[in-house]
Amino acid sequence: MIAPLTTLHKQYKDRMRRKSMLVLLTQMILLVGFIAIWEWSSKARIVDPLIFSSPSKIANHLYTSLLDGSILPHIGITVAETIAGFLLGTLLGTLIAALLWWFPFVARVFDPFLVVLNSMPKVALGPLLIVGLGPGFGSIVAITLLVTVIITTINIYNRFRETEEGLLKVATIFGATRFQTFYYVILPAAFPVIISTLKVNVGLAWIGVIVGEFLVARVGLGYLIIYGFQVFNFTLVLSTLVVIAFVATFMYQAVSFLERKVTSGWKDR
Amino acid sequence: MSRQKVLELKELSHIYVNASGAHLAVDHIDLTVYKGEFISLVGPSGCGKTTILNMIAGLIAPTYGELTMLGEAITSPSSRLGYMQQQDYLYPWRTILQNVMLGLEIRKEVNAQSKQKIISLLDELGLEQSSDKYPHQLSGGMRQRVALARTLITDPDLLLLDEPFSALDLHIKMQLEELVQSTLDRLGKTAILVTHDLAEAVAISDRVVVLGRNPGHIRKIVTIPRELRAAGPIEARKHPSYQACFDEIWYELDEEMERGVE
Repeated sequence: MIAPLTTLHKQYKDRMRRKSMLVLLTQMILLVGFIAIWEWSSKARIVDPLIFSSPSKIANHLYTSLLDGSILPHIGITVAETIAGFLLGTLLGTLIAALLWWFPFVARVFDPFLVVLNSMPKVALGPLLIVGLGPGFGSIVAITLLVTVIITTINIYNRFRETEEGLLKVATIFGATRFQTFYYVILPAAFPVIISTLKVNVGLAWIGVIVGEFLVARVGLGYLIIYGFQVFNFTLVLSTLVVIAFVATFMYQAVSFLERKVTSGWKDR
Repeated sequence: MSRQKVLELKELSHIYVNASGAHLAVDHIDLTVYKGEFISLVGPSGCGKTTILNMIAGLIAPTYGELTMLGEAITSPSSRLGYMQQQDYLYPWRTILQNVMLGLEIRKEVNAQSKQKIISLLDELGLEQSSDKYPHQLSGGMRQRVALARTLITDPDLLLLDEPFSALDLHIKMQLEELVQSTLDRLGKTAILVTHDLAEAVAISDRVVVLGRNPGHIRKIVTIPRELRAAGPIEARKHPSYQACFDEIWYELDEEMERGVE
């Protein structure tokens, strides 16, 4: 006899849950194991504690610097630079993409320049920006902008161009102007790509900010890394990395959440 | 009583020019369409059906010839014209209601009165339950109905139907043909349908224009008997005089295909 449907469903759900639990458990074991071996080999001097520090020292350092608040300004400024960078980069990239779409002649003219700019390592222009804008917040955001804006422009412009002919035809038949076509079709059709570009730009912005802070900053997480390196305090370097890992993940998740919120109603074909 | 001419094509020709050369796609098409008529264009691929439709829609300009709608030359998409494509092309980011409203928004005609009109149109087409849903939540047949509503909301005099039924299952397709024909008849609209499906052309039209290819030209215009047209697309298929009409058009197309082989 066949078991009732509810029983089968319950068995299936139980199987799935067991599998997820197993994955989570393995992840935990790996993480705890890694930290334990690190701690032990540092204590036993199998690795050089000066360079590799140890989890307990890092935890201790994080605890005290959070408690006395000395790390908070660094986190604050770096987060501000990153957010400014990826928001401005996405916004400006979308704006340039719109201009390229509006003026096909300009798009053709600039195509090879965009290709060259895109293949260049943008952070290499960092020193120029620092000289031009002066060291500090402005030049760091500018480096971040440079890292994100070209790829954003290219991605979004391509999406604009690949808008389905049939969707455009609907608006054209209603007598839509060029601006209306953009507003009612091109832009909303590209929305998922704009949001996913925003997500990519979070990652790119971190690169821009950290490199920028390496070069000039007197404050920020990138500065802490460079400072720790210069005074040979690798506990500081590693605990800053831990902070970056946490903040960057949080930021990425926040944008993912935004993405789900914005496109919850509709699906692409 | 003379019937009102909705559309007049006089010696209409179109030449496509591109990097590989110039190519005569449509050659000297003469056709007059009267108010309330349902015309079908059938023919093999390459016979210029889509070119003709795009010229009537004002999307491409004729190279030679005259093209007038209600006495005015067509130079750009006219507000008195509606167009249904093979796929529904509903905007996935808009609800059904918002999709139907699109034409009014573009023409800046959204007001309390037109909103009321949308609601009653959705009602008539059996879409009242769906107005707040998104397109991906509806079946193909329902979506094509929404596309019909979107086309009708701006109250066009002439509808161009570019194979709007071809992507649907047979049953849904015949239901939708029935709905489209009865709705257009009731509203007194004129329609030009492009189709590959001869059975559909015979079952739904007043006249069937058989096109030949290389270049696209009119081979024959077959007038469908009144009783067949009056029966509606589903019943017409079972009518005694249906097969004769079908065979006549079939024969024309067969001849055309033979000509192409030589």
